[in-house]
Amino acid sequence: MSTLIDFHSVDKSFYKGKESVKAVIGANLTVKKGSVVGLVGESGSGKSTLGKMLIGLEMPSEGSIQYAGAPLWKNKKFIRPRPGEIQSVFQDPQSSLDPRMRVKEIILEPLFALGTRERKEKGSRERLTSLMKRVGLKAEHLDRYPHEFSGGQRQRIAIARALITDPSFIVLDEPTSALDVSVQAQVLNLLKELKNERNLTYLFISHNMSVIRYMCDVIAVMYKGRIVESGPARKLFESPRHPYTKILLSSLPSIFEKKGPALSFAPPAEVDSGEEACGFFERCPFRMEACLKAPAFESITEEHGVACHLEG
Amino acid sequence: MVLEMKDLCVDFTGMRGKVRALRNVSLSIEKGEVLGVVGESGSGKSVTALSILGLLGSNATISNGEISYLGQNLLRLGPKEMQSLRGKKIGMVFQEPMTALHPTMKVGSQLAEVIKRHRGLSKKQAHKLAVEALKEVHIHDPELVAKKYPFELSGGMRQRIVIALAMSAPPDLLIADEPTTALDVTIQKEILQLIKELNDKRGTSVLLITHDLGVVSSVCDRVMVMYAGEVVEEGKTEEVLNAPSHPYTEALLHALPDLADPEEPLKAIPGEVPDLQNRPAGCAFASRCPKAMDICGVSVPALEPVSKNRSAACWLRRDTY
Ligand SMILES: Nc1ncnc2c1ncn2[C@@H]1O[C@H](COP(=O)(O)OP(=O)(O)OP(=O)(O)O)[C@@H](O)[C@H]1O
Ligand SMILES: Nc1ncnc2c1ncn2[C@@H]1O[C@H](COP(=O)(O)OP(=O)(O)O)[C@@H](O)[C@H]1O
Ligand code: SF4
Ligand code: SF4
Ligand SMILES: [Mg+2]
Ligand SMILES: [Mg+2]
Repeated sequence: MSTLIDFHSVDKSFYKGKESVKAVIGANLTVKKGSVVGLVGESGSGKSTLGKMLIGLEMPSEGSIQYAGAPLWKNKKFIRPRPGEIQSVFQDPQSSLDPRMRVKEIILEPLFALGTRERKEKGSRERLTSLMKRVGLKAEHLDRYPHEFSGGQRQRIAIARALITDPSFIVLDEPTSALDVSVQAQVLNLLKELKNERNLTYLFISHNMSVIRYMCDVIAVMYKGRIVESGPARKLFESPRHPYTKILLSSLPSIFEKKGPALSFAPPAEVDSGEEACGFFERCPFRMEACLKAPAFESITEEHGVACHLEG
Repeated sequence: MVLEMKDLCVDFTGMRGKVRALRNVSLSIEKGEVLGVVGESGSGKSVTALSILGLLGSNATISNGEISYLGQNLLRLGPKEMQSLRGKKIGMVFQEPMTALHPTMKVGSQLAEVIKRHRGLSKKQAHKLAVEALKEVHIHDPELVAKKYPFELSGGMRQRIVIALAMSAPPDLLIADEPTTALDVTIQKEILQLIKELNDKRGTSVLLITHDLGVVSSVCDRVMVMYAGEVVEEGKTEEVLNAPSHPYTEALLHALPDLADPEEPLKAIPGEVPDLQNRPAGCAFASRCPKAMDICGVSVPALEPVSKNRSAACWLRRDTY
């Protein structure tokens, strides 16, 4: 599989007055064409920020992001490889769909980025109807407003809108987190089928580890802005290497049998670890003196990497 | 028996008319037991909790049923008596810890205040017990945390404090409505462990409401599954999850991604939960049920025992026990 996206030492800081928040720190991540890469991590760890840099909503502070071999950001500008090439679907379909617009207008909206001819072609009645059918909606739904739909249906509308431009890549940020379990399965299966039919590539953000395992080929784990471990989904679940990944996996409230010893956060460290320390020092049950200097992200195998002094 | 609810029906009157949010809901909790209530959004979990607590709004009517708590008929109590029951005899924990905390009061003082009220102690004694209470919910450095305001603490810490508040009387029953839904999974585990520990140590009964079957499996002795305002299945947690009796419970289990078999395609449940305003006749699950029969669309199946420790509301299970 060829590389579609390459993050190289990407930082993103937000400034509030004099204070700065480092939302993403030194991110390195490769997304292969046709794969699904999952991002997990606690709330505020930087997952959405990382995703937003791919759709032009946030600009990296440092580092570079390559998309299909060309930089995605250049001179503070977001360079679209092709209009509509990259799309997104967010968690809350209620707030991401304009309540005053009819479903038809919502779905057609992304086409305004395209030239007149292409817009006409892609927005034809025929195409629209077949797309509606494909995502499990009906043609007569096109003239209704979002509030007339359930959460699951609204997410189908959001998916149709993302697909209308024929994208190659979609950022899915918690696409099923607001849905009930019985409807979540419908949407996850739809996303999987569409990916295979259209050879799509996904960045899939979720805090639900079973959903991530079901959807993703590769998983990256974030902690406080850093990618602390990444690797093939199976490898990561079977032999996690970073202490945070281990704790995360041992915390799953699974109805299925748990394996492996339980592992929990350590009580907050008593010493002030300082700026240079490993980002997980505060809560790491294995912290040691060496950890006062942050570990580099290193490869264990070609695909599996981790940032921890215990490894390497 | 600590709590017993029998055939409770709750109606809400709104702009679109009357909606029946609970339909003949029955449940019971023994001393020291943890009962899980699981169901999708709108299935009536919170209304069940609010009915017990006497916190249903003015647009609600309890049109049928009984609730008895330690032998006392709760539906006969006046607002004053209910208020003294809440917080003291029945502890409450909700999804959003901030709703239970005073935003501009140090957490130690909030706890001390409640302890003083419940036990008639001096300010100094109450403060000492407040610090003890923080220790008991595993807050490191309780002296320091006691001096903080809620906004200075993380969501998980706040929920620990709400639990300390809820347990301070101490109550015989703790009602926790989605107490970990807003928290990260690693913190969720710690909070669930804490609830379980307090239940073990003090024998407090717990009604734990969640939409997550995983949560049920890790802490509940028994579980009750709700769908569209009704209880569809009830039994010992392990047994229900290993061999569900009701087609909805079964479908729900199959719709969840299984970590042990991640490549297996999910079996989605077709359709959606019915609108309570237009509840179909017969079994509420009928339009989505793969096993539906003629009678299911006509007549509502009652919740009845189907085996030794199990009840289900399904025509398929009638007369099997
Ligand atoms: N526009 C912004 N201005 C200031 N700070 C921000 C902004 N966007 C994000 N942040 C901060 O950056 C950090 C990462 O946020 P981000 O939204 O990426 O987290 P997340 O991993 O997606 O979390 P969640 O699981 O809650 O969605 C947080 O500390 C957040 O408060
Ligand atoms: N105050 C209220 N007024 C009108 N309807 C309500 C009110 N509270 C709850 N309901 C309705 O009762 C049903 C059950 O709600 P609830 O118990 O909150 O569900 P959940 O299982 O998600 O906790 C829903 O249809 C909801 O819309
Ligand atoms: S580097 Fe040290 S502190 Fe950081 S995760 Fe590894 S062991 Fe823990
Ligand atoms: S009563 Fe009928 S429709 Fe309802 S769950 Fe049982 S078999 Fe299915
Ligand atoms: Mg996010
Ligand atoms: Mg609720």
